[in-house]
Amino acid sequence: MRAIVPIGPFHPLQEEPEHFRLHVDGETVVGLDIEIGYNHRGIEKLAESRTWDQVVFLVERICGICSTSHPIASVQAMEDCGKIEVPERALYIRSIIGELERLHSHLLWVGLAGHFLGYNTVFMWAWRYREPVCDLFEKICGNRQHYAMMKPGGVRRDIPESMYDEIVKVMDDLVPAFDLFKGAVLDDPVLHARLKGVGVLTPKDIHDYCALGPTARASGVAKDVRRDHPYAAYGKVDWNVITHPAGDVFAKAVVRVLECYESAKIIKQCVQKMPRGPIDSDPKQIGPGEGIGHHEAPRGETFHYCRSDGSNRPVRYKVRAPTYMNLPTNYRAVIGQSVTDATIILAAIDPCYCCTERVSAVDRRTGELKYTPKDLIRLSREKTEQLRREYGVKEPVL
Amino acid sequence: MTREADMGGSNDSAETIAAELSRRFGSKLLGSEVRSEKRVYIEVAPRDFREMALFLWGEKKCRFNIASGMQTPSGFEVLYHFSWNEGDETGPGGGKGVVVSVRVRTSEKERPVLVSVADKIKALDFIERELHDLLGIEFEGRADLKPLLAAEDWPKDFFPLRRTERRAELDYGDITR
Repeated sequence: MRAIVPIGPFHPLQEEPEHFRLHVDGETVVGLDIEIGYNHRGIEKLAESRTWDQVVFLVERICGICSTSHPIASVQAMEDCGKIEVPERALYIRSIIGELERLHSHLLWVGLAGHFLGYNTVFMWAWRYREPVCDLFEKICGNRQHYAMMKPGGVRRDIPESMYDEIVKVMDDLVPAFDLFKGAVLDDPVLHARLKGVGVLTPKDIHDYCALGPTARASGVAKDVRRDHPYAAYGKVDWNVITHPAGDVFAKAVVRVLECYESAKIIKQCVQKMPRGPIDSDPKQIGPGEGIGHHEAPRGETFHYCRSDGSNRPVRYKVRAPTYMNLPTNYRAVIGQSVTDATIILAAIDPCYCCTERVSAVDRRTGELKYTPKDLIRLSREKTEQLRREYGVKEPVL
Repeated sequence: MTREADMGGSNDSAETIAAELSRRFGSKLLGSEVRSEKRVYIEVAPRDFREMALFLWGEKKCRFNIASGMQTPSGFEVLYHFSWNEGDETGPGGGKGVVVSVRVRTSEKERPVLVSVADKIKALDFIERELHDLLGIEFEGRADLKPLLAAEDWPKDFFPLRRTERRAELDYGDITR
């Protein structure tokens, strides 16, 4: 019997609004419709009315998870357009921030993937080990997300030398956690049974849909912007592009877990090799022209294009997030699969539509508002202060 | 891993790429410029874009990044960006990272029409629909340009990224109340 199973646009499994219509014959998925656009905020149009400096803050709000990926791509597009040099130290700091973000994002996905499969132990442990990474962010830039570190010509804040040892220690301490997740994924018979051979994408599919990031690498396609289009400090440190030939959801989980080791490796090397010196070339304007910037975000390549007429704002700004390219691979991955596997297949690309919803906490029984967004910001700032006192970290220089 | 699984992997420099494109396309290439060691900008007429796209994606195994369209005083233009050398195994820092951007222009100011390649390159499906939603560009050879980002009840003749649009009386329904 043929039927349509709708998932979304608002669904408890998904953090964000997107609408999948699964056409099923019995339990087998035979067709898929994807609808997006529920969260379209007109950011490209908005960017045309913002100054170059403001655009970096604007694109940072596109996503709360890859919140430094868009700014890195953005400032690189501006630097490409205006032929702006970036000091060496700033390049290293960009790589450190980029990789810390990959760590927290991959750990978040590993947790969520466990949650989707009813394996909540993985969820709890993954999110527990994500905390030290977010704490590091908080100490470096004062925020767990939205770091506001990037600017055209460099970075906004330095990483003080007094923090080097701590960063290295956090990375060293995380390695046993990665071992734990590697074991939890590789040695768990239930995960093998649930994920192997499920939602397979071949290298041809990857090329057809121009998919990228872990989605491509888990199909044995070694594409990685960090290596293929070297930028920041990625060409100056030693690391490996992780691939897995299987193309199924299991391979995507393996790639993400193994990439955590590489990120920790990159961060440690960057801290050790980072030269002293200025962090900002302080450009005064973006000259006329056009520029492209891209960054390997946790989900794949983030691509930005800007055009300047020499004024203080762009005449055209284009943003392409990785999910835009990875999402259509579901047309291929989910067909012929069981409807019960569809949720993890759809989640396997680590979809990210936008993560900017604000929270208010309400008491369910009384309906009373417990925390407003303002209260939550205050609590977050208090926690930052408490952490700074505990670790003896001084106020970052703005 | 086999080279086939790698998909591409040439490590050509920007100059080599520009020379190859010029050899292959001759007078069909309306413009070609090597802006830096990582950026090549070329231009073809809309009718030649299909051939160019299939050469880059099909023959050279480039990855299509995205297309960025805009309205200009003389009409419309769309830049299709392709990553040339990927999957190269020279190790970190070894890739040359050249992006080839193909410019396609039309002087039509009201109903711009370009050529669709989404039947061959599936990755173009979303962006052709988006260009139609936001700029009102039609794609020849494509009937199913259903809205990607625009809502179902979005006015059919209102394209938000067109500079000529000055419509303040849009009905936003219940959202603003």
